[in-house]
Formats: sequence, C-alpha cells, structure tokens
Amino acid sequence: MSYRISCDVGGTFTDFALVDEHNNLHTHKVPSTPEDPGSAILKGVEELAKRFSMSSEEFISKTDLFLHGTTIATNAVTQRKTVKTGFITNKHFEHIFSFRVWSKEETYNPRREEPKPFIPRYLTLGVAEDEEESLNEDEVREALRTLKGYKVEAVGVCLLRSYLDPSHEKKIAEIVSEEWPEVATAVSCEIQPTVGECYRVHATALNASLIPIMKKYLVQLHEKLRSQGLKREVLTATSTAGVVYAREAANKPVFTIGSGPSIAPLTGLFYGEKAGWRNVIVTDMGGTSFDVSMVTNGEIKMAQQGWVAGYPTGISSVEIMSLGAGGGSIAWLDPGKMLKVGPQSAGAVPGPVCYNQGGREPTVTDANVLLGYLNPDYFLGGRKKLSLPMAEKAIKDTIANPLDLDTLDAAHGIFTITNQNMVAGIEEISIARGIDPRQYLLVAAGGAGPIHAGRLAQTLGMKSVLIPRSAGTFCALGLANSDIKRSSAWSFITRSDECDLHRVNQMFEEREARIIKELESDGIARDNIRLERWVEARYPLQIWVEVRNPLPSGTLSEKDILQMVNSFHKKYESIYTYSMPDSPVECVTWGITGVGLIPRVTLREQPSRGENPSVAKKGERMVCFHEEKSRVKTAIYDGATLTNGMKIEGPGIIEDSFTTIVIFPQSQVTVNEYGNYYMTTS
Amino acid sequence: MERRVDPVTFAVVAKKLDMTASRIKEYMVMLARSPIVTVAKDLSDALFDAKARLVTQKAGIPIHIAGSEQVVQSVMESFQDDIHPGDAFIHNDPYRGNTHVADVNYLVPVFAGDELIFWTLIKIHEICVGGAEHASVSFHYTDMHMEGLHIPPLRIQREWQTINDVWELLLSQVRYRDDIEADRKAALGSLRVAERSLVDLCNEYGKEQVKKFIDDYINYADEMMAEEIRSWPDGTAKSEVTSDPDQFGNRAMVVCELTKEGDRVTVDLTKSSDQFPQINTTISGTHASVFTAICNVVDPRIPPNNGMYKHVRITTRPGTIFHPTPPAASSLATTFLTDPLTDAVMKCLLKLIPEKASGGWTWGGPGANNVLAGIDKRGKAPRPVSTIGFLSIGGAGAVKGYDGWSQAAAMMSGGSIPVANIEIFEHVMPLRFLKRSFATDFQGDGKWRGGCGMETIVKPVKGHELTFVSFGNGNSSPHAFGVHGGTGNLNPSVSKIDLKTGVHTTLSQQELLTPFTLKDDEACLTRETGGGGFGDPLERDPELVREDTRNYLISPGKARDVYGVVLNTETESFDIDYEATKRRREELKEKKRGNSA
Repeated sequence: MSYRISCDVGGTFTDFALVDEHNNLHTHKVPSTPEDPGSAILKGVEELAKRFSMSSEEFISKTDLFLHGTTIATNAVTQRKTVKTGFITNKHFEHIFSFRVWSKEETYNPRREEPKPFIPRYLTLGVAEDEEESLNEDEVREALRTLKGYKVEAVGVCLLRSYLDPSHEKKIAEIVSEEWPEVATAVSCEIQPTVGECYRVHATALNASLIPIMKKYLVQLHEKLRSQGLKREVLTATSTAGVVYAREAANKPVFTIGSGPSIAPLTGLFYGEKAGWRNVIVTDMGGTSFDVSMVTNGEIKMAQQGWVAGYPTGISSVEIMSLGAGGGSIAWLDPGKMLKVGPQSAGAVPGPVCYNQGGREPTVTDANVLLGYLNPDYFLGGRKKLSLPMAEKAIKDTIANPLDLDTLDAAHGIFTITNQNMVAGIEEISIARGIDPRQYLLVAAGGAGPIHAGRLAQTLGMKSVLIPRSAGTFCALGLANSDIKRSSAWSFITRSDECDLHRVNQMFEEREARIIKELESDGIARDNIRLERWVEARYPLQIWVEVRNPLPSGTLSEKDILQMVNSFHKKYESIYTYSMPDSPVECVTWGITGVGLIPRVTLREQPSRGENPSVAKKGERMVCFHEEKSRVKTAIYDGATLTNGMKIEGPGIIEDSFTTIVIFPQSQVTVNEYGNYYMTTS
Repeated sequence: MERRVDPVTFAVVAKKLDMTASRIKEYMVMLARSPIVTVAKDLSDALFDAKARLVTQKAGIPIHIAGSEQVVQSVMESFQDDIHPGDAFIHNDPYRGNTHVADVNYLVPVFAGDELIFWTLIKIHEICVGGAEHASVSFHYTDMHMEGLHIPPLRIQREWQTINDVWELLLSQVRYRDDIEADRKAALGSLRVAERSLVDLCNEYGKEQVKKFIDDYINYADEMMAEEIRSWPDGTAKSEVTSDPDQFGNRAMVVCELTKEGDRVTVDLTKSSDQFPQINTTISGTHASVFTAICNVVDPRIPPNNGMYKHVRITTRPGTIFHPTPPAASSLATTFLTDPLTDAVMKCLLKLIPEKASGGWTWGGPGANNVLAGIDKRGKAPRPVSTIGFLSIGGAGAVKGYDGWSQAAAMMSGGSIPVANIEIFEHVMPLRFLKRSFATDFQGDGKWRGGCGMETIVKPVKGHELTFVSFGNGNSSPHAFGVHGGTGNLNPSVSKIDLKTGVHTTLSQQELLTPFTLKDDEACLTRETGGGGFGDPLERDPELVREDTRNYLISPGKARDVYGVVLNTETESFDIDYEATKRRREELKEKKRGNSA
C-alpha cells in the first residue's frame, strides 16, 4: 500500500496530484511561496495528509514516489539570478557568448537593445588548443587562478570541435577537480556533445550557473522530506518529459529548464489515450502565455533545443511553441489603427481592467466578460468579482470608438484576433511540420484555455476537444504518470553511403550500457527499462533541417540504415513537398533514451446518471457568439454537478471552479467516464 | 482612406501573410545545400499582388527585396496572359529589374480559381551562375557577358511539373551543379508550401475580401508613411560619398540630392559618376539602397510595402553607375556602390532630421564580402566547394538612445546575415578558424557608440588550399561616420599571415582586387569596422564605458582619453573613479573648446 504524490510548482500556485492505494486521484492547490518554494510543497503535503486524517509524517512514510516539477532553473535565468560563472574556451574565441547564429529581429529597426551575452567576456578565458599543439595546461591553471580571484561560484568548459574529440575538455575537467574541487563545474561533452558551438556553450554555461542553485534547493527539500519519512529521493521533471532523481537534476539543472510545459503533452496523451486518441495537440493557456505541444502516434514531438530568456538551451527538449497570448494579453491599436492583441500582458497585477485593481488597458479577459463568456460574479468559482461596466468602458474608449465599431463587435474582434494568434502558433508546430491538425485531438488546459478551445478547434477543422476537469492541476497529473528518463545525444556526422557502422554500433553499445546501469541504480528492474534510439538526419550539406528517425535496437546492419534512409525520404517529402531519393542521407545527431517505466495511474470510472444535464443547469445569461450579431440567451451549467454521460448542446457555458468552458453553437459537450469534458465540433 | 475590410479581418489576414512570408525563408534555409544559403543566409522572400505591388516582406535582406517589384513586373510583361496555376518562373536579368545576375529569383503565381491573386518570390544569391571566375561577383567582369548566364523571365514549371529540358540547360551552365540543383528544388518546395497556405487563405476569406485586404494593407502603410514624412521639415540636402578605387585607379562618386516636400521624398542621383565597365548598381539595387536608408529612420511599425515605397521617388540618369546600360557589368551591384549610397542618403537625412539619423554603418568590406573556394578532399571523392565567407561582420551605426548592434553587417543586410557556427562552417568547408573576436577600439565612439568591429583568422585545413576573392569596398575609404559629435571613419583590412614565421602582410587595395590562394601554412586575417557613434563620447554614461572596457570592447586608454572615464583597472570590475572622471571630462571639454576656438 503506497501513495504517489506529484506536485508542480508554478509561479502562482503549487498544484498537487495524489494517487492513493485504490488508484483514486486527488488534486489540491496551495499558493506558491517563490522565496522558498519548498515551504508550499510541505504545506500542500500537510493539507493533503489532513484529508486522510494523517500527520504529514505518517502520510509521507506511506509515499513511494514523490515527483515534482520546479521552475527554479527557468526563473533563475529569466530573472538573471544565476550564480556568477566563469568560462573556459579556446584562446581567441573569448567573445563566443556574443556571437549569434540567428538573424536580428525587425530588420529595419535600429532602436532596440542588443541582447547581452550570457557570460560577460571578462569572465570567459581562453586557453590554447590548436591543430598542431596539445592543450596548454599551464594556461588552464592560470585561468582557474584568475577565476578564483574573481570569486566565481561555477565554471563552465567548452572547447571548439569537442564533439569530435572531447579529450582536451576532459583534461581541463580533471585539472579543475585537482585545483578547485569544490567549484561547480560543467563540461560540454558531458552535457550534450552535439555539433554547433554557439548552442553547446550556452548549454554548458547555463548548466554551470544553475548547479549551486539547484543543489541548494534540492538538498533542502530532500532533507525536509526525509526528516518526515520519505524513503527515496525526490524525482524532478526535465524538459524531455521525464523525471530524474534529485542527484541527477542537481548536476544537470539545464535539463529542468522549461520542464513545466514539457510535462503538458504527457498529461495530454494520458487523457487522449483514455478517449481513444494517440494524436494529440496540447494547449495550455494561462494569464500571460499560451503553450502548444504535440504528440503523434503516442510520441511526443521533440525539438533540437529550447530557448530561455533569449538564449538557446542547447539541449534536445520537448518542442513547445510559446506565445504571449493569455487572459491578460492587452488589446491595442498601432499608429495605423491595426487592432493587435499582446504580446504585452497586464499580468496578475494590475491585471485586466475588470479586476478593478488599477488596470487601464483592455485585455482578452475584459473582452470575454463583455461577450458573456465569463461570469463577473463567478470568476474562479466566485473568489474574484469582475466589473463588467469597467471592461465595457475600456474596450469602448480604447478600441471601439477609434475604429468606429460597436463595443460588442470590438470585444469580438479582440476574441477573434487572440484566437488567430493561437491558431498561428498551432499551425506553426503542426502544418508547418507537415502535420494535419484535423487528425488530432485538441486538449485544452489552463484556466483561460477552455473559453477559446472550441473556436480554435473549429478554425483548424479539428473535430474533438478534450477539457480535463482538473484543468487547474493539469501538469501535476502528467507528472504522476512520468517515467524516469536517462538520455544521451551526440553528434557523429556520417553519410548513409559511407556509414561507419562499426563506430555507430560501438557508440550505441557504450551509451546503452551506461544508461541501463544508471536506471538500474535508480531502482528500475531491467524488465521495466525500454530503450529508444533515434538519429537526426538530413541531406548532405543541409544545416538546419534535421528529421528525426527511429532506429531499431541491437546491432545495426546496413539494412537498418537503408530502411531509415527510405523512411527519411518519405518523411521529408511529407513535410517539404519534395525529396531527393537518389541522394545519400547525412546522419548527424544520434540519440538514445532509456525509459524506466513506472506503473501507470489508472483512473476510476464514474457511474453514469444519464444524458440529461438539467440538474446542473444553474441559470441563463446573454452571450455573444458571432460578430455583428447580438447576444443570445444561453444556458449556464455548474461543472461540479455534471456527471458521466451528461450531454450539453451548444450554445452553452459550463462554469467550473478553476475554468469556464464555452460551448459554441453547433458543438456539444459530453462528460466522459472520468469526469472530463469531451467536446465535438462541426 | 476608408478601409474596405472589417478591422478584425484586416488584422487576421495581415498576420497570416506575415507568417507565410516568414516561413518561405525559414524553409529555404533549412532545405538548401549551398553554404551561401544555409550558413550565410544570403536570400530573401516576399509576397506581391497581381499588380506586382509588394505586400509583405518579413525576413528579407533589404537590398534583395526593396526594389524587387520590378522583377515581378518584368515576368508579367513577358508572359502577359500566359500565366497559369502551377507555373513557376526563374529570372535573374539585372537589365529587367533584377539586382545582379547572382541573385536568382524564383516566382510562383498564386491563383484563386482562375484569377491571379498573389506572387510569391524567393531570391537567392547563387554561388555560381556560370561566370568566367569562381565567384558570381568580381571586379574582373568588365562586360555583362562575363558575369554568367543572364536569364530573362523563363518558365521552369508548368502544372506543378518541372520542365526538364529548361531545367537541365540552366544547370549545365553552373559550377557546383549538385548543390545548386538541390537549392533550386528547395526554393520551389518552399514557394509551393506558401502557395498552399495562400490558396487556403483565399478559400477561407473569399478572393474579393483578400483583394480588398491588399488595397487596405497598402493604404495602411501609405497613410502611416505620409504622416511620418509630413512630420519632417521641408527642404533639400546634398551629400557626396566616394568608393574605393577600382583596378584602374578610378573611384566612383555618389552624388545625392534629397528633397522633402509635403509627404514625398525625392532622391536625385543624376549627378553621380558615369557608368564603369564593372562597378555599377542596376535600377533595382539603386532603389533598394535608397529605401533601406529611409526605412531605418521611419517608424519601424510601418510595414515596408508598396504603400511605404510610393512616397519615395528616385531619379537617375541612364549611363551612370546607378542606371547603367548594356553591356556594362553589374556583378557587384548589391555591395560596392550600395554602401556609399545608403551613407549618402543618411548624410542628407542627417541634415533634414538630425535626431532620427544614425551614425554610419560598416560597409560590406573585404573582410565580410569575400568568396572562399577550393576542393574539399576530406570525403571519399574530392568535391569543389565555394561560399560567400562573411568571415568578419561589422557593426551598425548608433542612433539616439541606442548603441549600434554588433555583427550587423552593412545596412543593406540589416542584421539579417548572422555569423556561422564555426563547427558547422568547418564541416562544410575545408577551413579552420584560428580566431573570431570583437576587435578592441574598432568602433565609432559617442554618447551611444557604434556596434563593434570584428576580426577573424581562418586557414585551409591540412592538405588543402583556399582561394580568397574579395568583392568588398571601403578598404581605402574610411566610413562608419560619427554624428552629433560621435566619431567613426574606420577602415577594414585583410592580411595574409605566414604561419611558419608569424609575419602579417596587409594587402593593398590593388592586391585585394585580385583573387589570391592560401596554402595550408598560411592564414588570413580579416577585420571589419564597427559602426559610427552618435553624440559626444564625454556624455556617455560612465557605467557603460566601464562595462565596455571591462569586456575588452574599448581599451582603458580610450576610456580615459576619448570618454574621459578613469577606471581603476586593478579591481575586478574596473571601478570608476568618479572624482577623477569628473576632472578628466572637464579637462577634455576645455580642450575641445580650445580646439574649436
């Protein structure tokens, strides 16, 4: 008998999902404590324990797995609170952090600040390493003395071309551990030895600069939980949609950047599979941002790297398309009177105008109040009162009057443009990658998402939308279903027609053995370890495109490579409209992910009480669904009272404690056996 | 002007077109094989309407796109009624609206039913178009027939199928055929993806709405631009800028007279030098240069489309460097004269709207504008390779309130040409980087300083040779001028380094005009200038001077003598000695007053 606790530490709330010994799911939410994130975790545990009439100690001692997602790393970078970090690279390349391999945005606008390098030049020291020469070890020691003098707390090491031969980097790491064993160190060949120094230096520097922060946080959390009886280490979410034990997270914190949104596709897949879908587009819309991720045939779409605060993370991560579109996004007119929404946001403070907290600029939430989608008296389950007259006045003065529009049409315009921004984000990650969203289920999470989801689906031609009832604790649930993942990616550039199979097999064997060992030491039995191999390939001389192809396990033969090449041509053509089947393929980055399978959470089905939702109907109000048409009388339902099997024909609105679901005309919602809302559109 | 589509459709369609335009270039860079596209990103795209009006450019290089309406016009003139769904055209003729032969245009007309609604265009600087020398740009092409194949508007696809005989003919003219063929397939693939989304757009909104949108969108730019220009004082300003000498010792003179009246700007270039045999910029490049300079001073929110450009009239005289006539060559059209021309326009704007003008930008000097060519023997079979190097990329001029950007390149590229990942560059070309760095004290100073200058050293990998062809300008013409008391006037340079002895030999202007070959025990150092400064350096925030000095962008000596900031370089953060700084700044101000008296 044991519990599984997962908690997702967000900026505003710390969300919990608890799976009890009968596989019942319990969710909980406590306000986050950003200055000491651990105290919200402990408070949440305590409150959850109370529900079972237990003490925290008793409760935790019965907990087998404690999984958690933290934004510590992401926040430290975006708020520029990483530790002072020194860097060692090649002599004559010390400005390496200033060089961008991407184009400046806004070609014709010189009135912008140039981004600052992640590590300033003066803390980046060069050591000689040349075609002919060996590494100058004295210079390494000298550089370390200098950095010691500067009192840096971490040191990163990345040499040019180390993806081809890491021996000099390894030598430097050895010298660091001799000369300065206590300093936090990151070496590029150990983070991810992939080609492209601009990305690798960032991965290395980000990692080094986060180690002391992550270590301190995890040690404290671990101590607290252990003192209350937790037997195993805390598991931490990574940007590969998996979890790792605390020790690994503390040494490789760069992998936790963006881990929150990376969990979303896991939850999306979890719910999708229950509804019979393995193709899922997951959206998460909060107050300031809209994140999209994608799962195709059960496989989460990965990107070559993520971005944080304008820097590349340099590591292979779940692909997240993040847009500045949320409930707080501000509607504005440019000098030519074009209506725009976002990316600026009113945030939580001052918030939308209707919050009556001093916000002056109309936002998406204001438009949603005016359109009747949001109930001014029942926002967040009635915990916040909204002012409709204030929303109306702001939209009228700022948008409607200058455009000579009716105020309701202006509100509908804000709604439509926000939707278009989100549709563009979804298209970017689907259609632009050769994927037809009509074959996918849309999973809409986040407090603000379900207002818009129905319209997004209609615009994209998607027939089905799933809105989890626990939209407010969406990621915590995904986390509860995470597997332990240990992965490795490395560049070894070889063409399919002259492929050095011996070397490739050797590389896979070495890494596979290491990963299995690591997972076994994580307590995973060999039978529960699944290995996934892939290679990113392109046509020779291409640089930016890399199509990821699965590879079989075991010793690879020429036939396996041939099969991969054939599937590459097909995949390439489906995305880019043409292929070059006569051309060999260049294999660039190889990877292997070891998945330590953790038993899945199985949800209990709710009993059905029939289709008729009238028991949940709590009233009617006037709601606007179309431009240039007035409001229509619309039924309002109480989410808490809706049960399995109940059906609502649009137009209608469901008010739940953390979210509001808008059912547009020609759509219907059915509550499914797990209590989630399943919307079909036409 | 009254808008014809509702405000919401207006905003939504504008966004969709932006996305489509961005995606064309994004795809092309991903899919192409030539390093000039994948590494140097020397390409652009844009969307036009059925009247050849520029509607949307999102990620283009200014010199490519700002004058490209003429490319679409010339295809339409050539084919008239014979333009059908599924067609694709190629065109690179500089005498029919293109920039130079090396910029090859691919165009796809987009139809809603049987009505032409859009043109999509992609313009790629191809590394070879069959000219006499390795590179498609050269000082030695003194006649248009030496430059390579001039392709008039020509159909290469019909009903979405490639016309194979034409395709073969075109490819048989070029070096690096396999790479260029792959690039061309990628170009058409990218345009076809865009076609798909534009057809969807017409289906979704109806073609009439889309056509109305286009009018509205052009009017929108038109109105904002009119308002912008009306806010400038009326008047006329003149400027002159000269280029480096060519191989015959002649310098081209750019004479620019800019008149602003009401909501119009007229730029008269008729007094510029008579045409050269080899150094000329065709009309399309001339227009693009003028537009680019003007785009840099107006509200960046104005979309640079037909509505914006119509406020600028450019007059040229046939037979001059900015309006050459056959058989004059123009392979250098997008660089050599365009930098002096954007400078000349900016210098006129400085007189009319001094606060909005910027310091001079770096030029496309020999450190950036160079071609590297050789035989790569590292694979199983040796293969010829060539690319534009962009080895060192200089800085932008400062504007009021902002330092210039580093690694911006000439204004003509507007920051669209990034540096390469060294490891990737070394993978595709048999060269090795020995240095890539910002150069200390190699930018204009000012209250806002210019972007930094850069220096790079490369050598061929062992057992290889590389030919270096410069097509840069500015080696012996100081540029990156300062404004409002800011400084500048810097020169790029190229040096050969003998790695055995360590001896550096800086190449003279004449030596640079001829290609030279590097052996594997030789390296070459390229230095490109930073941008010009804006305002008096003595007014620069000492904190910024401290930061620049600490990070080796300026020397402590310069901090003291030009910026009047005294730093304690013994401390880790180079603490500012505020007292000494105050005294030093007074002293320097006094000296300046003395000098001017």
